[in-house]
Amino acid sequence: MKRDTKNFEQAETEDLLKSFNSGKTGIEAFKVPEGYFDALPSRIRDEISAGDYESHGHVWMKKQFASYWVWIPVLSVSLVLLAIFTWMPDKSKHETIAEIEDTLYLDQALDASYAGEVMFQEYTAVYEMLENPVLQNQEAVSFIGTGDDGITDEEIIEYLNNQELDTEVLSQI
Amino acid sequence: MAEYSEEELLLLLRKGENPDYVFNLLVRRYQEKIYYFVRRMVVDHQDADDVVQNVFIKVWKNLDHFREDSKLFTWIYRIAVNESISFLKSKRLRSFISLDSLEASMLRSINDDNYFGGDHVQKKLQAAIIRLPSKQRIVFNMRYYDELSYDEMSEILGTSVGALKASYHFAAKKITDFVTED
Repeated sequence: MKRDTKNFEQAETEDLLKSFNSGKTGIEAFKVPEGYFDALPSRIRDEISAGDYESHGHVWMKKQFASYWVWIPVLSVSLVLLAIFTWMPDKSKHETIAEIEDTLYLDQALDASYAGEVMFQEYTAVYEMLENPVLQNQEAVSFIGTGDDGITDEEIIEYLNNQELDTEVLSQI
Repeated sequence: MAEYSEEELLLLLRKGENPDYVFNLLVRRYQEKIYYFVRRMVVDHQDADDVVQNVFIKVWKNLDHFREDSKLFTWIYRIAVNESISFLKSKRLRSFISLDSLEASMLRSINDDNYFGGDHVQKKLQAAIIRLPSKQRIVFNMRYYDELSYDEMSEILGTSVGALKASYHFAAKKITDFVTED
């Protein structure tokens, strides 16, 4: 008897699996209470008339969410999250101060590097001058500088005199 | 009560006379197909009853917005698919809170349900279908039980025919593997 049942189930399983791709319709195994479909349209109409679905949300929510076993854990989790966010230390102020200090150091660093860049440019100018000895007078003077650390006109004339050059002729150039 | 075709129902709806009566006809025409689709998705009869009511309430509320760019049945079926998915998502969340898996609770429903008339092989089949991902379950149920064409399914689900065929193929393979394992 048991073997017959097993063989029967095996055959049924094989038929079932074949039916997936044979175009055969599946057998409906789910049942409904007697008279269910006769009463369903009027129940739906009553539900629409009562307007319950508007005030309480979905019908199934009305039944399921009424249970306090759902709301107690939801409220507990909400309270814990609220507590965490309320007592979390405010880092924003300290972060702002740190940002400002960082910026100051950054500015100083930038200034230093700019000074270095100027020095680099001066060395570059000297190199170019050595490569191209014939410079405009103006360029040579501007590079040499005319401030406190630069050469004065008197010093130039003294130099030329030492070189035994005729200053009068030079002044006419 | 006389059975009206979809075209006749649409004609009556357009007339706008006796909307309650016409809606009643609409429910009677489609209630079984919609119920069984929903029932196969949610398994439990009480849950299916709730979802089906929600489906037809939504149909009633949105009947004025039905643009007839699809068949009436396609439109209602689409609402049923969306309501079923929403319900399962919500139930899955509640299952998480109660530390019980949705699949386990649905399997229990099949075993304990007074309104399941299938034998051992049918129970095994339903258990296999429950284990499928939602989309594959929908595609398999629509094709195998409701005999919808791939074109109709494509219109309802907004998925290409090719993707649906692949989905059905994988679903059938998974079910076969589960049912045949010892």
